[in-house]
Amino acid sequence: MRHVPDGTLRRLVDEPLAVADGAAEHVSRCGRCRRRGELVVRDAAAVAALVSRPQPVPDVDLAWSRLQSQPAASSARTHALRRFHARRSWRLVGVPVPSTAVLAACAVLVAGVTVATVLTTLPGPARVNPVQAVPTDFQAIADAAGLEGSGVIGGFPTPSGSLALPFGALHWSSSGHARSVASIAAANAATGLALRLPGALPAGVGALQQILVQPEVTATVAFDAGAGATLAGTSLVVTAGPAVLVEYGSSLGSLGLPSLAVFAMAKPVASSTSATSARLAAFLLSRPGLPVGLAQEIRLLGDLGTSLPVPATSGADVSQVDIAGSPGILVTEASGAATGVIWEDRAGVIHAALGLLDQEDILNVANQLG
Amino acid sequence: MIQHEPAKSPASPSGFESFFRAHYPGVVRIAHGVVGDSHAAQDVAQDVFIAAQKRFPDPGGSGHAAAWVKVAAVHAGLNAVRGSRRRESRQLRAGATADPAGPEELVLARASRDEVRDALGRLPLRASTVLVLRHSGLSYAEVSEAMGVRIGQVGTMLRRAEAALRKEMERATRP
Repeated sequence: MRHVPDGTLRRLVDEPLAVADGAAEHVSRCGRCRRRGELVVRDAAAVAALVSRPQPVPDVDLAWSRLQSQPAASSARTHALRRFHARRSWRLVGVPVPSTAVLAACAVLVAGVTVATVLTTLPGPARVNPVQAVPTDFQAIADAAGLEGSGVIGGFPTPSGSLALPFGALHWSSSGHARSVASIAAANAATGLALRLPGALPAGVGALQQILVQPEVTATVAFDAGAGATLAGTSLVVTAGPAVLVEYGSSLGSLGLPSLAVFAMAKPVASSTSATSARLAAFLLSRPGLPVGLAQEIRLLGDLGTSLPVPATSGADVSQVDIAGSPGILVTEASGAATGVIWEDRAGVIHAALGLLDQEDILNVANQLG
Repeated sequence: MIQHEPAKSPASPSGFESFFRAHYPGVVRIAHGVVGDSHAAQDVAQDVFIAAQKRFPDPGGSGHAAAWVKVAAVHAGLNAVRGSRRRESRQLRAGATADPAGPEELVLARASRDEVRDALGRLPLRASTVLVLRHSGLSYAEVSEAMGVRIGQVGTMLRRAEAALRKEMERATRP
């Protein structure tokens, strides 16, 4: 049989069942075609990595009404305005994507703070840095830490408890469950934070839905022989919180979803009996199962004592911003439907504002809080 | 005397509306593969369907109209990228500030996205079209139908386009 042409080698990568059996058999026997096939696979994979992106989920109903309202001729100004309004409403109407995005953003924040508390000891982050992460990374982190199925990821299930880890034991304690309070003044009184609510809310954001207060949590990891000789016998104590979460509804009330969430938490403090932060970081980053790329990105940040790593979902657009004189990051979800700002203020309080809003609106909210 | 209009039965989607609903998400996906931004992709898709409405007012199940919007999404997306690159270039010449400096990896990642879009724009139109259509999820049969080529040619065109893009990227990122 003649050598297999390039086009057939390429289709073997994507649609092998559509290619005659003889071609695949030839490639398996012919060294030259196999090598050419490897080049084809390499190029196809490289290009796929370059051009593949998370797929947007457009709102077809809205797009159809937008198309119908398109006049035959219009001035550039009215055209631009219509596009502007259509974009804003798309963010609010395209519920399935943004709601997932906001939940993902909250998960990202919780995971980021968790990573920061575990990896950061002193004197507290001076910079906020994004690292690329995908949802499966969080699962991998939970697996690597032995937390799978424990209910710990996403919040401790009980005010106090303990859990056996592959490399020691985790104990946590707090004064109680998260609870709802009636006003921001009550939240400040309960937490000792000095928070204020945004005075001017962006269009599309509805009434305040709830204010939740999470009491301070102290978690202790006691490392045993499973952590290796250098860490065995040491312990890591992390104190996080108290924290306040404020949720706003949507002005499109029937959606019943929060359109803006504001979160603030006293900077987590970690201390260790003897291990240095570098040694702890090296141990945690070397856990089997931890995504290699994520670990590498965290290592690239350098001194974790001055850098807060915040995972940003893959495909999200991330930029550095300044919130009332403090450095932060602005994360825009890949579809553009949700945005979030995370920063640490001069008093050492970590803030986040997350919403189904565009960048201008979320920055406006953040600056009112900063 | 009050005259009542006869009750109308719920309107079924017009021919074009059905066509729009069936193909809009796919066209957005294809445009997104070129422009890399969901809002810009939806703008491109709107432009494509405005043009399609004039060209095919009642497309029915026309395979030709379906093929046309897919290829038009690639072409319009490439035009949008060229337009935005021209604007960015003008802004830079006018002394506008670039993005604030972030971690080096971020800057590289952002540059890389732009470079991919630029490299796509430098490829021959048929090469960028086959590449975007296939990588936005169309099967070989669908690409063949959209581009009006024999299905046997799709693999060859795709192979050449991928090799060309890879070379373009290597050239662009070479120090």
